[in-house]
Amino acid sequence: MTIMSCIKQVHDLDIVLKDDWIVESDGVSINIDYANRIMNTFDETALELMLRLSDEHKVKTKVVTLGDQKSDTILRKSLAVGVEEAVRIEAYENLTFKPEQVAFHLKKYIQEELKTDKDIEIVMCGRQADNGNHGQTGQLLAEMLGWPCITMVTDIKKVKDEYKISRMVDFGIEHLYINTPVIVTVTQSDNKLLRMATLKAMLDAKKKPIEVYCSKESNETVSPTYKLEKLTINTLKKHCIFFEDKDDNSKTDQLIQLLKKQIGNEVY
Amino acid sequence: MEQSKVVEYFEGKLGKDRVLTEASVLQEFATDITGLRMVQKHFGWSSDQLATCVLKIQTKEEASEVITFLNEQKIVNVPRTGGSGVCLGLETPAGSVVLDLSDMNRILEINEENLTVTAEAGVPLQVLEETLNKKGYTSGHFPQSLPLAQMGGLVATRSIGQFSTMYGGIEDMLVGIEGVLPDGTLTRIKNNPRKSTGPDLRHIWLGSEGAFGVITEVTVKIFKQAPERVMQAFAIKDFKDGLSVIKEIVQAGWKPAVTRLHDRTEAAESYGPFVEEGESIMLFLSEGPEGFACLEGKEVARVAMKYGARPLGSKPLEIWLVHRNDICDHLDMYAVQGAVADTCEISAMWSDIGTIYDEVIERVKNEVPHLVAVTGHSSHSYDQGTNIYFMFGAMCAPSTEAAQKTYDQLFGIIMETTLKHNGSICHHHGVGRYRAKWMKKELGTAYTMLEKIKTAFDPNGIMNRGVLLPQE
Repeated sequence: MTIMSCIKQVHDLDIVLKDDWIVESDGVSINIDYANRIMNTFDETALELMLRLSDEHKVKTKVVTLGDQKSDTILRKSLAVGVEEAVRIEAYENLTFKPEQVAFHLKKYIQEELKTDKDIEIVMCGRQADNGNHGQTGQLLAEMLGWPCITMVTDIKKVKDEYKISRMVDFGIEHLYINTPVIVTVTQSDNKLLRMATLKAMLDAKKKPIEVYCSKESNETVSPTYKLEKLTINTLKKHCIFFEDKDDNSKTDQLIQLLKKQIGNEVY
Repeated sequence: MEQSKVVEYFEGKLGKDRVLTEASVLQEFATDITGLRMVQKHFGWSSDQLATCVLKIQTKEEASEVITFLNEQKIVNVPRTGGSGVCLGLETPAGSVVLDLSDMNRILEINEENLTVTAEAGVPLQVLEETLNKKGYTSGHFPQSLPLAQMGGLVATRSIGQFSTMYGGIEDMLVGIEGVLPDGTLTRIKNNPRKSTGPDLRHIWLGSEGAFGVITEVTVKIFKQAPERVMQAFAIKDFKDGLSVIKEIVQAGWKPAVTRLHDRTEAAESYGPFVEEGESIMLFLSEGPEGFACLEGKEVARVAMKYGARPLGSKPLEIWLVHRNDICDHLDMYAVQGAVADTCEISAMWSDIGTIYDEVIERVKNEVPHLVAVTGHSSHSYDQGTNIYFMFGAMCAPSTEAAQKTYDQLFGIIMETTLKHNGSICHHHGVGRYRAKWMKKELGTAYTMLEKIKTAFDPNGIMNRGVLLPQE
């Protein structure tokens, strides 16, 4: 049995300074290259779920990403935390806002793999990437492969020969028993942080091979259903009122007066 | 005296709402934010050495009265303000009483003629800084604990801030101080710019860690906010070359407020896109009166380039300025992953510091099983030497005992190596209970002076017993 986790390298957006969110002259890109490149946080959770399955059951684990050599960093990190195989689908174009193309290349690779490895049972994806936030790749991939897709997954357990999947829904957690092959998109939940790699494991991972897969298909093969027209910066406006202590009027009194006024005006 | 009687007495004096006895509160006050406890809590640790109660002190007179009673009854107490200690200095011995001064949070006077601010012990540094900023001043004191720390604790632990190369440590900022001695005497050291009236008694309080009394009020310097700031970063191939750059800059008389050198691991982790593999990174921020920052900045750049450094512009500094205290929002980020992680800062003369850095990194990498990372940076420099702030993390079996063993091994290597090369085992975190076991070696023949001070001030041993001096 093989489980494959699709991971993506993204800029660490937490590092980007407020004033650096500036749309470039092309209208569709923002230069944040000074931010470190890290593994997408939802993908990290998916990876951890895969590793937990492999801790308890005999499964082959594999990670796959799209990108250039810079993406090897997250593949090596995956190898360091215990993933057995790492694959990079060669891609030099920026696919940040192109989930259809990402899904297409993943599909081609998986189909190719299925010719030799019939045991791919689960393909995992983070529910969305930190940068584009489309939340589409996993579902598009499922559609292209003709596989079922379970979204918002928080846990996977193997119970005898079945997989029990927990997924987040509006009213709580839903538990499902599923058939494979299946695509799951993983969301974050408590205590599912990706395990840390030791220094020795990281050094060992540097020596491990990374398979590079060159897609025969060009990006043009996929006709996108939409075109990114422009990016705009969403400036958050704070509507805060700061109370200062006054001799005859405490902060609490001022708050009460304000609330009374708002309730009186039916503004809640 | 029975614990219930102690509680009854204080409830009579302070009122029930200011005597906290709930088990969960006592557990919260049982320790500080030392990395060891963070991970041990993750593995189920809780203290079996709970205090009898936490007293919310509101005035110096109350502090005096409370301590007088505790001294008469020979009850150990633990003074506390912001609770951001990282050396187990706030751990409560069983049956002790915690004196929480965080409600003493009034800024009493900003004196714009003498450039001082007088504040009660529980004033949060962040509040003080924001208040000063509104008037065009700064405290010049920016420890990483800025969002948590309060003034009394900062003096009691000999704190230092990230802009120290220019503004100095808290010992350079303290002008006057008031505190209660263990017998209840309220003492004040008046504000003067300098004097020659015997030993500087402020130094009894600086770094006292609650062992000689309770600080109730401090007067510290304030500074006019600098009109100019020059920020520049450089990549440098060798960490030791970076130390040489800093040494040459500070020994020439320049004092860039921020003077930092991060080793290759930290450079890659925090400034990856700026550096080539293996490079360290240097961050300099100059500020001061008009014209000064530019002048200093040019000299900093000249020296850096002389050693083959590569200029990286100001962006790394801009990032550092915004994110420098982020850890305060995620104190347990490593602990929740089961990693034993902490920081440990030491100092040494220029002649020894490079050797200590090399030896610690080498020994930790070779000796500590399941090591995740060990890194170091210099962040506070002087004419005679600098500090190294080591950061480390290692995995261990999921038990409090295994965490203790791993932590002791990591810390032990840093302490032993530092002492071997004549360094000091604490640069600015203080001794607490954890580092007390190395204090005899640290102080050598001067250790007896510390013992005698403790005995003279606190003959009954009621003040934060276990900090500074190891318990036999």
